[in-house]
Amino acid sequence: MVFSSVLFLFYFLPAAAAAYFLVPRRFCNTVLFAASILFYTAGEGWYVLVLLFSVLFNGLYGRFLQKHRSRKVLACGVTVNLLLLIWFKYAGFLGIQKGIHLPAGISFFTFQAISYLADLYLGNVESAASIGDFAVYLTMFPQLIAGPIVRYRTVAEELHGRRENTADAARGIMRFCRGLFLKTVAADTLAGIAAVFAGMEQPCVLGAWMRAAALTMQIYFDFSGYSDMAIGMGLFFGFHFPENFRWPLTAVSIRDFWTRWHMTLSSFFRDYVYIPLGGSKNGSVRYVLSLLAVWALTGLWHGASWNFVIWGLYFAMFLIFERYVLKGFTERHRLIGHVYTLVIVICSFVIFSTESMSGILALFKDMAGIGVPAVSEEGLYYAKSFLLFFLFCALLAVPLPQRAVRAVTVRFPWSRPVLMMVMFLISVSFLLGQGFHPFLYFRF
Amino acid sequence: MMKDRITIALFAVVLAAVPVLSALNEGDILYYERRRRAKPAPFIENGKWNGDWAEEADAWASDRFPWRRQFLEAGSWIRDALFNMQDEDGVYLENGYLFRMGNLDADRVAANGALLQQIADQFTGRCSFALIPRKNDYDENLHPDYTYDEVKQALLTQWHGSFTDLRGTLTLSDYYRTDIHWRQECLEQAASLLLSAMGKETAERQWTEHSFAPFYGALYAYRNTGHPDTLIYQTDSVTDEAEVYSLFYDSVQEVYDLQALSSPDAYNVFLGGPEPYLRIHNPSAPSGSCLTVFRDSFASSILPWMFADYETVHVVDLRYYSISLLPQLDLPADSDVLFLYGQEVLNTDAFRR
Repeated sequence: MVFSSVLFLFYFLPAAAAAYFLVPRRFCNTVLFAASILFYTAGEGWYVLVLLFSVLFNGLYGRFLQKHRSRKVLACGVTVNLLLLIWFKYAGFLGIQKGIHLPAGISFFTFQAISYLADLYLGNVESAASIGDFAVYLTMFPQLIAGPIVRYRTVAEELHGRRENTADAARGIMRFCRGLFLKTVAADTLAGIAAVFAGMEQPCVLGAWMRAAALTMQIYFDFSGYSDMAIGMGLFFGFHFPENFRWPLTAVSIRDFWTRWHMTLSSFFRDYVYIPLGGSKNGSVRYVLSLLAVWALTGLWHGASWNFVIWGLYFAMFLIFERYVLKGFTERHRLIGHVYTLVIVICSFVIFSTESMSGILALFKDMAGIGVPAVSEEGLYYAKSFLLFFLFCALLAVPLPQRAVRAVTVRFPWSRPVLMMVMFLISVSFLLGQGFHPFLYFRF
Repeated sequence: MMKDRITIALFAVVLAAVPVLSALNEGDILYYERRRRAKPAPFIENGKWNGDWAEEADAWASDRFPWRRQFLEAGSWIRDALFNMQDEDGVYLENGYLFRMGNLDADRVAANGALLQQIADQFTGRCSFALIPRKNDYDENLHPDYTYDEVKQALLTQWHGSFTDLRGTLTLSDYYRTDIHWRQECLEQAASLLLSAMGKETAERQWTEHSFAPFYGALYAYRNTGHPDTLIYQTDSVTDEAEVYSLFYDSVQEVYDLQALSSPDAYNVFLGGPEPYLRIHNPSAPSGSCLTVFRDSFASSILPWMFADYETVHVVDLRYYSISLLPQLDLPADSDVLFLYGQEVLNTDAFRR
């Protein structure tokens, strides 16, 4: 089940919210867990058992790890989680077994479970008071399928001590509506636009760049929209999930970009892989090797396919380049930095969104103008047709309009519910016209 | 604080109201989308979990959404008026008319032309190919699209018989705004030209017009303009007396299938829509005169203009009737033969079964 669906918005969510707020407080977590299992089962059927296995194993193993804290015990727990992930996600890629169904969100809940075990080992958290608490943490439907990757310590206190309040709930609703708007209005429309440019009879440089830009914005709005909805629903139910995006398309370097894009994944790899491997404090060779390992893994996390590995290593290459060659040049010359980062990022999402090497090379060739004209009649027609929408999306990707909206809602408080309802109704009008559009990050 | 409460209350009311109002939404057909509403999805099917349950249940819920059409129109208005997006799924809007763009597969057109030439070679009577213009051919604004001349050129590499160019007999207003088809009531000149290609003169007809509205054409749901068409079908004594034998239903029907007006595609009122083979018997025509028409859907609405002069008209749609089975129809070799095709069908693999 996806958030941006009539089934979720108008049937599941009101029913879950009503049940949550109508039952006595001591049953709220039970309702949340039941709703989450129902949510997962609706989309994944019997694969809910994989999720339940992860809950049971990590819940019990966490207690064991708490009592027997050692590197070996941690390694065993992490290995079981990784084996689960490898079997369902990478068995085909590794040539072990083809055609295995990928349970939605397995990368997210597996990483959450690993972070829980690692934090227990490091002494950052106490094990969950009960399996029930851990179950609620791992399965919570707002963030179950596409993140953000919430660490146990972030919500440990709120699992019992949260106090839902109207201010948070209203803020959550606004955030949810913003996410829905980004997904249905921006991301899904951009997906259609990218497909139009992909299907052009007369390819040209302009069309190729517009396609790549559309793909980049689509992926951004799709994922950040989902994160907004997850964070918004979290607030509604009294949880404070971490931010996942901070205007990544305004970054001035690739290093800066990765402090703004999918922040919970970046910090996961930083804390649990990069730093344990030595990070940047053990010489250049160790730094480069750690970086390559982290980024190959980051790529693989996104998908069991070589294009994702290349995508990860592509970023590693630019991070090394920035450290040893640019040395902060783009941070000092911000305009150059913006252009440089945008070009690198747009090219990266060509690799990200095209599985075949031939497809990637073909689009890069078109973008470089090899064998195609700068502008074709068809390319110009579509560029004109989608120009205003592109500009609108570009505005959505920078903080300025949001600051303006915030200023208006502060000055005129009544405009907030009006704005919320307008965004929501526009989102619904787009949603109804677009059919079924699962979130891109569901496959991760 | 109050604004927060209002935000929550407003959101809650809207979310809760939709399922209630959806339950009141009756009717099986979404006419403006020309399809039936999705059915409720079973979670367990044949003893197994239905993997598409969430998707199917969402389709069911979406199809019952209150004011669905108005929401779709609002979304289209935003795309058109605010973002000036000219193109949506290959459909664009110009002066109130919806046009579908396409890519020409010249080889496909030529191959289909060759096939029709082979069929034509089996007949000894008058034979002509009439290529129906798309309404795009009357759009003066530049859109990346193929032209009538390009299709004609591709066709004539393989078709060597008589060719009737219908472009001069039509204008943009002779087409539905929301559909690809032409309007029956505007086809007098086109029918006249086709009849003259068969060596016939157009008979004087006393038509009675019947209107049906709203008619949502095949392109309507792409842009949800809020302005459907009015469909007009014409009757006279000839159409009233004619009998239409349908091979598919193995029964005799009327020229106009009035039940189609309450179906998803009201255009099927003309000769019952998609039919592999029809035999029209016109008792008031000169005895023994015969016409064989190989056609697509455009022919359904123009044929009532044409069969006054023929006692028997065989109507074959090769999309639904296999070429290898043509001998079973026992078509008279000496009949007049008309190949009447729109460019879109000629340009696709779906041209033949």
